[in-house]
Amino acid sequence: MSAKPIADGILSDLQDEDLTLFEILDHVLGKGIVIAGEITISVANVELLYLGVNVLAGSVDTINKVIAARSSK
Amino acid sequence: MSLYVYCLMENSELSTPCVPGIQDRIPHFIKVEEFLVLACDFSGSDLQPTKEMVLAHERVVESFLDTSTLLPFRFGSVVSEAGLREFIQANAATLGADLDKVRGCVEMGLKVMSPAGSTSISDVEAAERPGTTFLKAKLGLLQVQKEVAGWVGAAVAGIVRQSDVSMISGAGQPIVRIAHLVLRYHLDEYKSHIDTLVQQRTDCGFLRSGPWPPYSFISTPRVG
Repeated sequence: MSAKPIADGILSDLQDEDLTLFEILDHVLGKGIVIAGEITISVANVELLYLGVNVLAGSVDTINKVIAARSSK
Repeated sequence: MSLYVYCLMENSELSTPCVPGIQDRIPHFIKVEEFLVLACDFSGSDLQPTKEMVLAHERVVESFLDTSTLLPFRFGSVVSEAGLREFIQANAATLGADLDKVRGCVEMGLKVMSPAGSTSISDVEAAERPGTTFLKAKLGLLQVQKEVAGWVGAAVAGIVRQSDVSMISGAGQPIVRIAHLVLRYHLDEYKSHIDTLVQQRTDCGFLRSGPWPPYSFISTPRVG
């Protein structure tokens, strides 16, 4: 996996494990090639992944938008 | 049977995939047009974005990061083979241009939490003029983004091939999210410049990560 994230300054108190997961989620959920899919991504457990790192709300928003777009078809 | 797709690559000599991914399946290559797509069979109609699943996706994509030029799909991309071929045929020129753009490069992540530009809004004003409050907050965010992008951009000028700047403002203090596309042979120089920047800006919080597949440098349209 990509090298462990480095936090400095006012973010340096966050746990390494939280930061690593946050960075992976931020990339794989929020970016990349988007292709019209055939499945539903469940959000039931997403918030569990975000414990300790409240800045992940942006990625939750992304998932909700994808689900809303698919539901409206 | 549907396909779970991980990344799209140039059609070149590549090692056989051996890292298990989603549903513990070993991926395989599918040739479409002039590209190779790394994919595996997918059964079912639901995908939980658990920690294990997300890590499995990233692990497979990264297994080819050092040996190929690739464009990663977003987590959860499940499609029929016909749908995949249709998508690639429709976007072949854009995908080819993106591969040219990222060749020899990796993505480096930088998140900056800056106290600068924060908007002070009193409770009274927020209650009496909610529209103005919203616009003021929005303007404050844009100012923070512009200011941070400016001094970060100046620090890495000439080293990065391209930048992608956005905001994370869902909760707490806003964070400026910056992705840099960096040539591999500039990585040490890039890290050194960011080290210097972090030492200079002690008023800010920084989160540095990478190298990543070029998730932030995709130009194909964002469809549902």
